[in-house]
Amino acid sequence: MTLDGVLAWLERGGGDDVTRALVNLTESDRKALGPKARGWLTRGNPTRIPSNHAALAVLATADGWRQAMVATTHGFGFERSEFFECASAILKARDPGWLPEFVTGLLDDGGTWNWCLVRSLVRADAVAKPDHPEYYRGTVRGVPDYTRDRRPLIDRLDADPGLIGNHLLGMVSTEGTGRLLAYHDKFEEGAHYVSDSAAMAARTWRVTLLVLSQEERLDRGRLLDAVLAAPLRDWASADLAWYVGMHDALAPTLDEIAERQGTYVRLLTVEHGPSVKLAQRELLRLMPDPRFEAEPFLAASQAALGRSDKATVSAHLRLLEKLAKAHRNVSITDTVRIASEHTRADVRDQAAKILARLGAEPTRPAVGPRFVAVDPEVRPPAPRLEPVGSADELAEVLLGLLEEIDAVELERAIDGLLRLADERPATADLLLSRATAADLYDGDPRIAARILACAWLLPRARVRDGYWSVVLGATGFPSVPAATETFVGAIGRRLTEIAHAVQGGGHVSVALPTSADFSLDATELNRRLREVRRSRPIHEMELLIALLRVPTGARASVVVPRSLRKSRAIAQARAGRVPSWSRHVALDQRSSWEPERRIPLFRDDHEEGTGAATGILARSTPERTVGAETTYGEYIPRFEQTLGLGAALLPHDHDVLAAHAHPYLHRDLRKDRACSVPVIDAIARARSSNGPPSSSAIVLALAAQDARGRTAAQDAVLDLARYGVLDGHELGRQTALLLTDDIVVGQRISSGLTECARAGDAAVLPILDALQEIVRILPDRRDAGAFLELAADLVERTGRTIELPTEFGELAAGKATSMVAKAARRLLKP
Amino acid sequence: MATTTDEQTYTYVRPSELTFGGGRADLMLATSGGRTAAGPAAHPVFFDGFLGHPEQAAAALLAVAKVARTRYYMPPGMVAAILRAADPVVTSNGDRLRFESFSACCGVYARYDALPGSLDGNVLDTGTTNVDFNPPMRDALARIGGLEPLHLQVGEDVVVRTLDTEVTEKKVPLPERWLKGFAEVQLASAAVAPAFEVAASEARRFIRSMPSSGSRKPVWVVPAGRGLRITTRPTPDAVSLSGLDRLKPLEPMLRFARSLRAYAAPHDPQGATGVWELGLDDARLVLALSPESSRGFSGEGGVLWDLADEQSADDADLISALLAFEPRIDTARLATESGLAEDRVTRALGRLGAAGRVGYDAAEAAYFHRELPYDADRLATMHPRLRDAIALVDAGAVRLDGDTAHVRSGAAEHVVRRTADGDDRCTCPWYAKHKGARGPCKHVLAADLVRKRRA
Repeated sequence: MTLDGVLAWLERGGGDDVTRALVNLTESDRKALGPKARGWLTRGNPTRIPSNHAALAVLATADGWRQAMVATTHGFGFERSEFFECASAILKARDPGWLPEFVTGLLDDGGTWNWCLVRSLVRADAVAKPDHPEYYRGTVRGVPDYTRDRRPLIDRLDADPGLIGNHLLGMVSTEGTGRLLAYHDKFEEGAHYVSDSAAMAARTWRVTLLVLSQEERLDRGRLLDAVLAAPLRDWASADLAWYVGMHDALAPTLDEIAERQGTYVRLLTVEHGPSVKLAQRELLRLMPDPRFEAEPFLAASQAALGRSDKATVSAHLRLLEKLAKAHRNVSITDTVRIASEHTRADVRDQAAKILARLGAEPTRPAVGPRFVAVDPEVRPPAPRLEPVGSADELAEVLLGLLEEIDAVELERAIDGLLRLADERPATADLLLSRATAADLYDGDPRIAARILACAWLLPRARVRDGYWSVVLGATGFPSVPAATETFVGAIGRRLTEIAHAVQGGGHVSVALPTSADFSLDATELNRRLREVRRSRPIHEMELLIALLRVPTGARASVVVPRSLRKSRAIAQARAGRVPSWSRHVALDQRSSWEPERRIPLFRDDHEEGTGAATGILARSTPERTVGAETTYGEYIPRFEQTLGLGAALLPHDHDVLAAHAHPYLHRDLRKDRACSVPVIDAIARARSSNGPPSSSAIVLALAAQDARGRTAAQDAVLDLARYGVLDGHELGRQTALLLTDDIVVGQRISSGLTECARAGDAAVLPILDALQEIVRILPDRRDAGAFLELAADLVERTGRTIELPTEFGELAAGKATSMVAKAARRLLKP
Repeated sequence: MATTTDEQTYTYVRPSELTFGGGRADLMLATSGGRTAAGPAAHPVFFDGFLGHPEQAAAALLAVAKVARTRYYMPPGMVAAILRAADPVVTSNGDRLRFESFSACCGVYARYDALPGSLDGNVLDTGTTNVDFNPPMRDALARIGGLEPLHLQVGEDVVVRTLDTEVTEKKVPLPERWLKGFAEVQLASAAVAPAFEVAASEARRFIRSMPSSGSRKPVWVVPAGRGLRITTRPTPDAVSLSGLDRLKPLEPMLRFARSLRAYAAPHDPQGATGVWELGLDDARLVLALSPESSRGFSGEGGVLWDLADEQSADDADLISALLAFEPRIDTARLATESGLAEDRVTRALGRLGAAGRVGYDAAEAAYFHRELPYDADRLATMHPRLRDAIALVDAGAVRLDGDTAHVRSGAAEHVVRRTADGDDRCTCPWYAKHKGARGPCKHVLAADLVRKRRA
């Protein structure tokens, strides 16, 4: 057949015709067709040859396994099994030396089509059965047909009977199969578009394997062994859940359990909780049987009792008690004592009761840390901040900021730029080229460093007004900058104004903090202001920021230059009026398919930020901007650094800062990365008590999804307590409000407070104060137990009392054995 | 970033296997390559005897193997692990066996030390080799209980085996950064100091209560009350921990734990190396974690100053000739035997560590002799920053101007400025980002080399 004839078959022929044509290619035709066929798949196909025929042509002409891989990596339309039959026929006829490597390459790449092709080659005896995990793993998705064929899975296996037996046992014994089996079975069980539920169950692997074992086409004993062996391996827990379900479906008999007693006992020592529970269940069944061996069971029980989860340990204690009743000669005392050290009080209680029933000496409780009321410490002064000394040093600072934004370094750079605007560093060209070459997304805070460097070093005549805009908090596509009246917008506005001032030259720097906590001494600020010559302007916003960095009580002592005395923003900052906060909950729903979110807001009813103070000094209309604010910087990786720049503006007005940060703190409740850590760190540096916004911010951070966010909040609680400025009652009130509004997860907050109480004595009393407020809203809540247990621990530790709602009193008086009831009894104990 | 990858070929006489029979478990670990006290060996034989605390030992071996097979950090854009697991390395130091592995992401190093009290048998030789940890053997290890003795053989008589058995070959691609990290983790460990120790019950509570996920930014672990807690504040007495899941290899071992000890590298607010040591019965399981989960040990560059010192190369040659697979290298003895000052011996050991020829045991606060069983030439030439710095010097790209050096690198000229306190500051992006925390950049090194040559 001529090459044109082959091409004609490829374009119009059926599978058999194409196979015949390709198998009979001459060597010269093969060499001519090969590059064309690969080109159809990789560079675009100008012919009418379908992709699957082009892929067959690639397989028929490839000189090596890598060339052959083009067929599967670039081809498509392989749904019909005909393709795999044709492909295996072609490759079997060619029998190239590279076929085993091709098979390994296909399996390394993974994917259903690749598995189907390999299986087809094995079935056709073109290659030996590969010893590759993907050959077994791929069966899970390779055998079912997810598109049209809705028959039971067993019918698909009957079509390829070589798989039934060792191959299927190999499949369930291969690492990584468990999660695929779980995905598949869940998909089939939940395929709501299929009306016949029986057919769905029959398409799961679990039912298929069970039926095969019942029909004795699959060795039930070996299947059970494989299922039990999985949790013993060092596999990820995501791979193990399916095996527990399969084990339960197999429902082993007592004889089978007795035969595998050693394995069940070993399962007590694994990390995977459901597997431990499975072992406990089956060993409980075996316990009355004479074949039960107590010694290995007791040895393995040490691992089960050492677990941190309550349910497993509690169940194992019950199991041990049953063992003691069933086998009178077995001593469980030493084993039970292990649970006496458990972190949960009710587990310790259970162990103590068992020991008491056995007539054993109860384990002396570990001497807990004795509570010692501690006096507040004096906060050590923050390190002094040194201004940059020269243009060269300033250039180094800007080079560093182009890589990583740091709020302290940026403040030093701003001060240096304003002072040294007319000087030029030796590395000016290098800095300029690095700044202009930096490829940064909109909203990335490093843009500030780029724009400031360009404003400093580019020739002034070459730039226009509006050139130096620092856009932060960008969101959406195309990106939109944050509104100027918002906090993030104000941070960008300040940097933009600095860039303009630097570009214009001749401005005065007044806002550089004197210490690394962004605080500024009033005397230093007065000195800077005194030294200003009349000809040099002071930027209104910089003076506002300088005033905000001065401790609130000392702001009135700052002598404002005559030129800015009429500024309302400056007057507001100088007055240092205490905000009057009112709390609201805004409802926000971005899209119709998303759930409605409840966002707590704080509004300052006294102040309204105006002029330069807009977006910084007060938060007077949060409900207008909160919807947009929750989206700011959502997909910008360094948004945390942007908020860090904001925290540097309000070192003494932590309630105002916290009020500004609420939209982002709320977002952190569901995000894997917390962006509000710098805000929480700033609140932790507060020198006065936490008001409602700060308290609410701490609680939101305690409930953050990201562990680092939660840890920062615990640090804040501990710091504020250590320095004697933690208002526990306010913290508790805000917790109660957020719990009542169903905004936060109670379990995260109780865990956070427990960690804080464990960390030191200073936080214990404020946490008890907070719990006093929280317990009022706990009746009928599912998360009440953890709060009450913490309260009971702290009450016992300190000797203080706590007032409980009457519902808990009634519960404690009854016979309930729940965690809440036990904790309530401890709290009401005289 | 371009990476160099070579294939490591393991050749085992037969796969390692674990068999049960006669009331005991027999573990035969097949060996491949490496060195013994007598020199290079194809299949070293190190130990034949019983391993104490069998269940604990089996769990520890599985933990070490698991680290080798895990990638704790997946760089963005990488859809699949490109590294097949390298086999663990075993070192016989005469009185103890050490099993080492290194994660695929180059950020976690694990070592199980079976100490003298746990070995009951004949130590047949000293040296280092690879051991085969195949899946069936790992599965069998998981079935070892506490009541049956565990007989361990590290290597076997090759002459007998090869007569009737086919050799098992396994090829694993090992990128340069993996090899370099495996060597450099020893130097990072050598810089640590004990930070705190807690009892087993607190260790269990702390590790089991750690969140299963968390951002990759470093957090710090500090003592709090009787136990430990995590904080976001970098403090000098804390141990840095980035990627909370990287401590998870300790979890299966917690039921055997006697104590948990942590060692901290010199304080760095950006994160520092942390070494975690679980005290076991007559054994230790050690994990060394890189400063950040996205940052492997290979780029730390802490040894570059020593490597740039040409004198230390000769010292290292001299010291290496005096090593004999000691479990604890005594620098005072080496100083006496070599006639070098102790600080020169320490620098030479650092250089040998960078070449994978010694390891560091934080518990003993001493190096131990082991030679990684990989291509020695590759290990010795794996410092691209130093290589590039030498190239810059050779090309005459460094111009000194008092305390300032101008280094032309590509199209840019970088300025290396020496500050009043002796630090070198460079204008390159590497320095701007890391500020010297990960060793000097090539420009600083080049300037230093030129200064030394002119001195």
